Amino acid sequence: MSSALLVLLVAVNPVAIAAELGGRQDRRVLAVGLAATAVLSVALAAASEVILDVLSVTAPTFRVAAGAVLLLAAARWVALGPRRLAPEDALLSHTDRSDPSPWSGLVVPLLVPVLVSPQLVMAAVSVGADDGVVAVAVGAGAALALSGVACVLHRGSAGIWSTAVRFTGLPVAAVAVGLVVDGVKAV
Amino acid sequence: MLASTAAVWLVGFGALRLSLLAPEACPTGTEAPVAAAAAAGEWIAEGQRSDGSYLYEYDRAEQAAMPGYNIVRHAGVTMSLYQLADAQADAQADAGDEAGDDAPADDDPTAGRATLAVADEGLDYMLDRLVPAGGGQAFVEPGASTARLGASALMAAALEARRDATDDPAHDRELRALGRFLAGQIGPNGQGLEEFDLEASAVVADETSRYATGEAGWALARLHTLFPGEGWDEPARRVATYLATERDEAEGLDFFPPWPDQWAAYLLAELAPAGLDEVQAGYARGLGERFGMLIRAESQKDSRPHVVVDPRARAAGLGVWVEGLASISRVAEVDDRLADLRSALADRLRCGAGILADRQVTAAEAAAAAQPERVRGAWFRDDVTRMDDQQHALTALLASDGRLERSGT
Repeated sequence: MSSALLVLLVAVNPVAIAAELGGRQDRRVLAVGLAATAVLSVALAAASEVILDVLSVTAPTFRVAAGAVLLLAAARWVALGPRRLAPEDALLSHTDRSDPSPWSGLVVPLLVPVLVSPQLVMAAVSVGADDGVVAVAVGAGAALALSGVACVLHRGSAGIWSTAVRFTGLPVAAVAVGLVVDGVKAV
Repeated sequence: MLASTAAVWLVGFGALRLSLLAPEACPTGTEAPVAAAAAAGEWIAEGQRSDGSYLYEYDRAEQAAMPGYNIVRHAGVTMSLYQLADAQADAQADAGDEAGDDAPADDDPTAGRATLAVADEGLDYMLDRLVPAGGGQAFVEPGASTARLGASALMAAALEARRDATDDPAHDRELRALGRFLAGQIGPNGQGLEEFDLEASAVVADETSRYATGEAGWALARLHTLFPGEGWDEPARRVATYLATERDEAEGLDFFPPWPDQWAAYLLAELAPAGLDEVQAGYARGLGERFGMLIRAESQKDSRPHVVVDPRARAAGLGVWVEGLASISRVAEVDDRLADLRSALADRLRCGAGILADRQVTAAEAAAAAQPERVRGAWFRDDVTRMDDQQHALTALLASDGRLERSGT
């Protein structure tokens, strides 16, 4: 269970989310986005067996793939830092005069690509198949709640956050490698 | 941004689907594994020569037998035939039980006896080559100056399988003599020394084999099962600990341990009913995981672009993995420390056996061949099959069907 929580925490990476969103987002929109992501994660976990059946793969095989995707995300964080959203996509702030509705940024870019990431989708399915829906609900819920807190408390320069994200990439990579090894070794 | 993100996701998923996330193809296999194994046994029987040796290797593209012979593989093939004979007798009895005493038990009730006759011819080939060695007897190549551990170990295993199939004690003397030779080759740390110098009548130091120690350990453990109280289990357990702790490093196999050794798995399955220590149980778990991974990877090969995957494993390789997995399944049945693996082992075992059955040349497929009897019931890779392809696949099919359960129980 603890390893499942860790996998979901690093797949979400609250530091990266806070760095990408920059603390300028509308809190109501952010809350809805985080809740929607949590619900989606739980739904993926609940459907994990069906997904594996449709793909004709077993849980260990999916675990290896999830680890590889997570490793790519870790490499991107280490090499490039947080994703820089284009100004026209940063429709998250209610102070943005060009669009009076903060909700217009809910799907893009808040949900996609910031919150609902490939590594989170893979982790939710993999952990759901291995440890069940409850583990995903607890893990994703906690990680997304931490992300919300990090976004609200976001202060300081972008450079500091970028450095912090690069550092988080290292433990993410370690967890990803562990996931791959665990999948490779499984019966 | 949505479009570009969707494109990245699609390309990423496509790349995964063609590599790590390729579908695992697990054919349902055959409902008659004994019949599939019997077809392999018939391929061996068709190729048997008058001296009891077998057709060693055949190229169906060239329609020609290839030169060479290997007495270790001869012993292994003979062992598999005895296993088949035993399974055919069991299957016949099962069919008789289901149909009632008055009903015909099997389409071919003589099948087991025919297989036994072929195996006995193969056994005569080995009995003719037994020589005194190390306080016992060893199976050697004619004219050879040394006796090799592996050949004698598998000859002992063949005699043990014959004992299972027939309950005939006629060759118990030779069996015990082979056991004495094997035990004499096992060092204090459990390592088997591969060669015995027949002229100097001494063990050759420092000559080892990655296979032979496990083969000898298993043969000794089987001897203990057949003749309890004679002390054969002591060297067998020494071997098990050596394999679990030292062999991979000693043989340079420690890059990604444990090395997938089905002989070690057989040995552990034989010892498990009397109990394994923590190290041996951990080794059994590691072997189960390794065999499972290999079968899983094999099940994905046909789903990947051929330019990025290595060829299908030959039947000897895949058969070995299924044999190993079946043995670890037997360990898990009696050892609760491996209870969490039982379901996964069973699933993976079915998958491996299904792949094997799916790749066997059927009678219909063989009908179009120039020499159908050289093709039917066999497994080919690059148009070539070798007798141990049939040996391991045959044994694997029987093991996956629980037909080798008699030993160790």
